[in-house]
Amino acid sequence: MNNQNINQPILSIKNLRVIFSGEFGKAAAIKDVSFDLFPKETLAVVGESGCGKTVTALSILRLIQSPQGKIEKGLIEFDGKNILKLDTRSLYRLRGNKISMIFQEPMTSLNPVLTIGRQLTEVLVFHQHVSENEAKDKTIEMLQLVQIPDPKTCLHQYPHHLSGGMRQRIMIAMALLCDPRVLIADEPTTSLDVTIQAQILDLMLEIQQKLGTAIILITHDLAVVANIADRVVVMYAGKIVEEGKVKEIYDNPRHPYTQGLLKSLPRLDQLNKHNKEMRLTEMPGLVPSIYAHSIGCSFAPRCPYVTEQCRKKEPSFKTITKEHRTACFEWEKMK
Amino acid sequence: MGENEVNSVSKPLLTVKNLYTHFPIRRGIFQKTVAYAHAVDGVSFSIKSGETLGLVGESGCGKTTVGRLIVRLEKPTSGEIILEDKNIANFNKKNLKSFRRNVQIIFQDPYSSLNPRMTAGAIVSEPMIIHNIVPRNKINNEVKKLFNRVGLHSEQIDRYPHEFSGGQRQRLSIARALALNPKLIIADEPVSALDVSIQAQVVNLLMDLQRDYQLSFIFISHDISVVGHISNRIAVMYLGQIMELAPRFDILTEPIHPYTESLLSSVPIPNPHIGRQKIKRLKGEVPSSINPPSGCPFHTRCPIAEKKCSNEKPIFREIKPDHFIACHLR
Repeated sequence: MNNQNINQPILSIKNLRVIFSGEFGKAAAIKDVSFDLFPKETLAVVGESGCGKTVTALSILRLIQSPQGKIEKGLIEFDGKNILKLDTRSLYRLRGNKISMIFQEPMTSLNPVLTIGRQLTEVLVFHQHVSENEAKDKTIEMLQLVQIPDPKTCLHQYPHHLSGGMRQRIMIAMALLCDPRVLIADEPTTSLDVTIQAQILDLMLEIQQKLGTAIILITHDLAVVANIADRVVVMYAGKIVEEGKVKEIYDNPRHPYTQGLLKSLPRLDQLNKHNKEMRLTEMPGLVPSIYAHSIGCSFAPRCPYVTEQCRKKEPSFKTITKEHRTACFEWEKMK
Repeated sequence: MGENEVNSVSKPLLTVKNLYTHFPIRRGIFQKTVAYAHAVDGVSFSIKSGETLGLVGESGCGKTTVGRLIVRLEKPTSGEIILEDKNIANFNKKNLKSFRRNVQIIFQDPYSSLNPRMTAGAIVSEPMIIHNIVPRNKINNEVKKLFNRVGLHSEQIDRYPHEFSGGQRQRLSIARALALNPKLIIADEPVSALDVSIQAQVVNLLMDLQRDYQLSFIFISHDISVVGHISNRIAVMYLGQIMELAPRFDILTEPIHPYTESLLSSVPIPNPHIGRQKIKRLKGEVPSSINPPSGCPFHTRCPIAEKKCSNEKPIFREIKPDHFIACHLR
C-alpha cells in the first residue's frame, strides 16, 4: 500500500454514463465523465445543483439507487480493479474501508437510535476484525484527531446531543477510521458556519497530510475550492466542461461556464471604498433539466460566446496545456 | 449614490434601542418556564433611508430574531423600535396592520415561504387586497408591472409556486414584498438557498430595486462575502449582541473587535494565490444562549480576553466616527 506511485492514478473514471428512469422516461444524469484521481491530492468537483456532482460520487461507491438509477456505461478503476464489476461482498469490503465518503447532511447521515460509539466501533469490527476493546481505543484516538473535546463521553452520546459541527466531525472520524486511500467529501461544510467550516477544512487537510489520503471534494463553493484544492473538475449538465490545476482554472478559465461561475462571486478581496454600485456578473438562465434533449453544447443557451457551430455540434476536449483541458469551441476567445 | 451620500441623509428611518428578547423555555406537563434563551440581548442601531445594513454572525447569534422583531413577528421583551417617530414595539394588532405596509420581509427558504395553493398572481396581489391600496380593477395591471420589475414573465401569473425554480420563487417573494411599496425590507438570508449564478441575479435585482425606489434593506446573512458586497454598513452579532458596527469598507478591511477579526479570517477567499488564512482561527463553538457567559459574551473564545472581560459587560461605544464596538480591550 505504501509503494503507490504518485504518478499512477489511484482512482480512474472512464466514460461514465448514469441513467435514471422516472415518470418522464429515461434521462442521463451523467452523460460522459472521465477523470483521474492521484494519491495525496485534493480534487474538487464543482458545478451548480443538478450538474451531476453527487451522482458521480455515488457511482464510485456503487450507491446509485437501483432500479431507477443505473450505471449504463463506463469504467471505474480502483487499485487496478473495475469497481463496476465487483460482487456485493467485495463492495462491502471496499466501502468505508478503502474508499469512504462524507455525506452532505451531517444531521441525517448518522443513525439516531445508536450511540456514537456503537456507530464508530462497528466500522472497525466489520472491516478490520478487531475486538470491541481495540476498536474502542482506536475510535477514541480518532475522535481526538478530529478534535472532539471529550471523546470518552462522546462515545455514549446519541447524534441529537451534538451540534452540526460536532456531527460533521463524527462523520469525518467515521470515514477515516480505516485509513481509507480515497475520501469522497460531498459538500462537507455547506450547512455549517464559516468558523466551523474553517475548522473542518483545516482538519481534513491535516488528516490528508498525516494519512496520505486522496480527497475528492464535491462543492459549489468556489471560495473553498480556491483554498484547499490542487486540481479542479468543472461539471455542467452531466459532463465535465473544464479540468485543470486550481491556479490555472482561476487565473485562466477557458470555458464560459467556469468563467461565469467565477465572475458571479462577490469578492471581498477586491473591495474598494466606492464599489457599492459594482454589479455581479449574471449568468442568464438555468441548468437544463436532465430530461431536456439538447443538440450541440449544453451550455450554448446561456453562453455569451455562442456560435452556430455550438448549437449543432458537441464540443470535444481541447488540451490547452498538459493538465488543462476544456470542452469549448471558442476557448481561444476567452481571455 | 455612493456611501457618503447615504450618510448625509440625517434622520434615520428606523431606530432600534436596547432591544431585548428572551424566549421562555418550558418543560414538564404544566409547561413551567425553567429558563430563558437570551436571543436578543440589548441591540441598538439605526438605519437611514436608502441604506443597506448587513447583519452577520454565526447561527444562533440572534440575527434572524432581530429581523423578525422589526417586522413585529415577535414581540420584544423590552426596548424600542422606532419607525418614523412611532415606537412600534408595543403596537396592537390594528396599528400593526398599517405599520406593515412600510416594512416587509423576504424569507430564506423560497420553498416554504410561498403558499403552494395560491397562484403566483394571487400571492403578489394578496397584500394589495388586504391593505386596500389599489382599486380592484387595477390590481391585475399592478401585478403585471411587479412581475416585470422583478424579472418574471407576465404569462407566469397563473402558475403555482412549484412550477418555479428557486431563483424565480425568490423573485416572487420580492414582488410580494414590493407590492405595498414599503420603505424598509428585511431580507433574511434571501440568497442562501440559491446557486451562485442565481444568487448573483437576485443580489443585482435587490440592488437595482433599492436604487429605483430608495428602499432601505436590512440584509441578514451568514455569508459575509454577499453581505460585504451589498451593504453600506455591517453589524456583527454574537450571542444576541452587536459586537461591532461600522461602514462596510472599514469593518472588512480593518476590523477592530477580536470576534470580527476571527470571523473574517474564517471566510474563504476565491483566490488560490492567497492561500488559507490561519492566523486567527476561532476554536470551539458558540456557547448556548440559555446560559450566556457573564461579562463579555465572547470572552470564552476570545484570544485576548482578560479577567475584566469575564466580569464586566463591555459598553457598545463609538471608537471612531461611525465605528462602534463592544470590547474592553480595543
